[in-house]
Amino acid sequence: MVGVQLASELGFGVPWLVEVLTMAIVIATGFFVYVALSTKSKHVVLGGFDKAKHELNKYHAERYWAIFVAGMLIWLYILGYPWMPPVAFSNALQHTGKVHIVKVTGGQWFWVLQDGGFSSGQSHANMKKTSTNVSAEVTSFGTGGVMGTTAASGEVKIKVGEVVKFVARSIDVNHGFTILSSSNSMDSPLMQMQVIPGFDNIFYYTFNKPGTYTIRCLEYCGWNHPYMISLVTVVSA
Amino acid sequence: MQHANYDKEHGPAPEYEITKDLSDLTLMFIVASIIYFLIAGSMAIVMRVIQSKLMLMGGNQQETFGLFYAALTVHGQVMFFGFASMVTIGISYYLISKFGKKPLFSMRLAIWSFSSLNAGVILVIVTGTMFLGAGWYDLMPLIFHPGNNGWSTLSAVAFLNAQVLIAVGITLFCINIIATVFSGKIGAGLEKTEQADDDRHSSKSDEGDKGRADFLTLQDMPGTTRWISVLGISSWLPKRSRRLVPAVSVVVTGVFVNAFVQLIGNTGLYTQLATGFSYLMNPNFQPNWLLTKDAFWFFGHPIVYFTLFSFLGAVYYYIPRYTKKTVPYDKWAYRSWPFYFIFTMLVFQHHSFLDMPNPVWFQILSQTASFGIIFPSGLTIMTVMMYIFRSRIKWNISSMFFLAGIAGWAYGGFNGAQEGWWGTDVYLHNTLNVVGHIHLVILTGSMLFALGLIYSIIPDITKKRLNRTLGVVHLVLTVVGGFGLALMFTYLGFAGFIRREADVPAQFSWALSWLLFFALTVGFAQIVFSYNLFKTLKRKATQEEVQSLKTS
Repeated sequence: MVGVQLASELGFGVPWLVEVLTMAIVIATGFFVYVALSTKSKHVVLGGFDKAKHELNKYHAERYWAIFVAGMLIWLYILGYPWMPPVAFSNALQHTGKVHIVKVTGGQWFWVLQDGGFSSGQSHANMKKTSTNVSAEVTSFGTGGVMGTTAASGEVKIKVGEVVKFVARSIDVNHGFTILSSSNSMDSPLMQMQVIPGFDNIFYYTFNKPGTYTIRCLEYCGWNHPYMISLVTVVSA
Repeated sequence: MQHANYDKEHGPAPEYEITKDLSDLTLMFIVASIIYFLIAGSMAIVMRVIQSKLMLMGGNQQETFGLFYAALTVHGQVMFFGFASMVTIGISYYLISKFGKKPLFSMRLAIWSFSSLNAGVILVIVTGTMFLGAGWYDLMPLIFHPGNNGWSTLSAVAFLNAQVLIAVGITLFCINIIATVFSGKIGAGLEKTEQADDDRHSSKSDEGDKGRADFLTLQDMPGTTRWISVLGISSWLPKRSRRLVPAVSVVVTGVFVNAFVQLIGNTGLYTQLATGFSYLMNPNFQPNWLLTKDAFWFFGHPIVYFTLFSFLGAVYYYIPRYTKKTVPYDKWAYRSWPFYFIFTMLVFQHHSFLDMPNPVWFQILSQTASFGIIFPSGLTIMTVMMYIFRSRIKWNISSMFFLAGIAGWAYGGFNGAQEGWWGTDVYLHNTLNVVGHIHLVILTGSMLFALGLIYSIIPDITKKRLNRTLGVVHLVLTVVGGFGLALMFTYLGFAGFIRREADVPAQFSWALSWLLFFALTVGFAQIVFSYNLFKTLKRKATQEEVQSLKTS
């Protein structure tokens, strides 16, 4: 498995998140209800569980709780560390020979995709500030800015299993470059990144399945934002 | 003792009457916040109606979508600044005076903060009618790009001025709070090193306990000692040193940390606004939009906690009060606050997870701070629950709102921890999951705390009680509607429901009627509350109320 190692690809996907959140809410609710119901009991004599709790206070229950929470967080942090963007990208690139570069240009309200060829996987390009005048370069694509006529990306051929390096630029405002799970323009996100004007915004991704995917802006960018949609096709290797 | 009767019902309260002017101002903040809540809530209804394909604007889809984004902007901004920030500031003024046992540093500053905040929020509503759709966080740098068949330069300038007025209002509040805490004497007691043997089980007030809030004495602490005390740092000192530092009320600590963090955070908003104005005046100006966006979030995340911290500090006090115990100067009540102070200023960076050009250290710090903020939150929840556990708590409207608020805040925290991982944020960002998180934290967290506090402090400042039956209706409907709405958003986001779209994925169209139902339930509950509040404010106090509340 190469490309950015995302949560779902490691078996920690959205269903796992749903299960964890649901379990946490159920346990917490049970705890809150238990504490609330505990207030109905009488406390004339300190004994039984009351006494046990009193002893717990005496022996610093909060201290143990604090240590438990801190330990839990450190464990979760270590678990999530491989998904940090630079770490995830570096790990992915160590095991691949070639990286397929796809240049993406976003503007109000279009996407243009351009095949940038291949480069060595080891040359992990830095995300750097671009030249200030990218608009001139983009004008040649020509189809932007017209409602409902977003640019096609037919010239870009992506294969299943290859590491794709998306290098996205914006010529005007902040856009949200998102690849949805299918050609359905309202499907769930597969990956996403913000496209900040004035910068190369880079994301490595590997497609697992052939098909047609929707590219959509998910950051409101003006009146025709809902129509800033394009498609990209991924073919079998 | 003067407060003996009142103790039978609630437990002790500070023996300090805030000034009439401050009482009136607190009420003005509360009333204004409720009005803005209803306005912002109606905008949410407009959004749901548009998503339900009930086309407006004569069937013009583009204009209908434009209306959706204008409603989204007004909903987010007015709910945040008009409701949540407004009620936070009003109640914080009350709390700092009541628990610091001193008048505000400047009533004039307090009135200016009220005026400036109101002017800003009203201007936001006006720009909404100009079809300005900048979103609640100004959707960088879109707001500085008028034209393209969208809003005009005039509406962009009006919106930016609204932001300036809001920022000034919040800044004046922060300065006033900090000056109140650091000028002259302040009420302080002795922080206990450990729980006394019978502290958690005694139903009697220990009159000799100098740690009780009502026995706070005015003390003139040196500057360094005061910093250590108000930030809660002294709670981490060794036992012997801890006893040397007078402890201000934990309520004062909560309000102070809130104001101090936000004052620092406001620099981010000013940076963004300065950049925006410069760009509007000179389109050839090439700002660093990444830095500007990061600067905004330096303000944008603390403002979420801004609606929470003052109330958390108060919950540390009011829960033990309703358990009829002495109010302990428990070191664990203070131990969260240094962590809140540090991580609230760092945690903003997880909003920039997907801004890939950010430096590596910045993104690593984002993930670290996202987990870091959970630590003090976990401590707060456990400490408060330990106050309730097997206590003789009086379950009234306030205490039930507090418990529900703790639950909502905890659920929002669980969800926030999931979003605080970069590897999962790649999926969840810009889905309804984020909307669910913010609604859990604000609607079922901060707002429930605020409502609980309103039910607590209205009798203190008006000597009149709100109607209990209407209060129960308000509580039940708010909790059902709030949790229903927030949890639906959360789970729909998991399922991939993308946000900020006037269109709705066909596979989720069934959810719209439920979302509308829960939203209307919350809205109706606030109408009931408004009626209850205004009716209470209008009527005269009964003899029974005068007798029972005059010593509170």
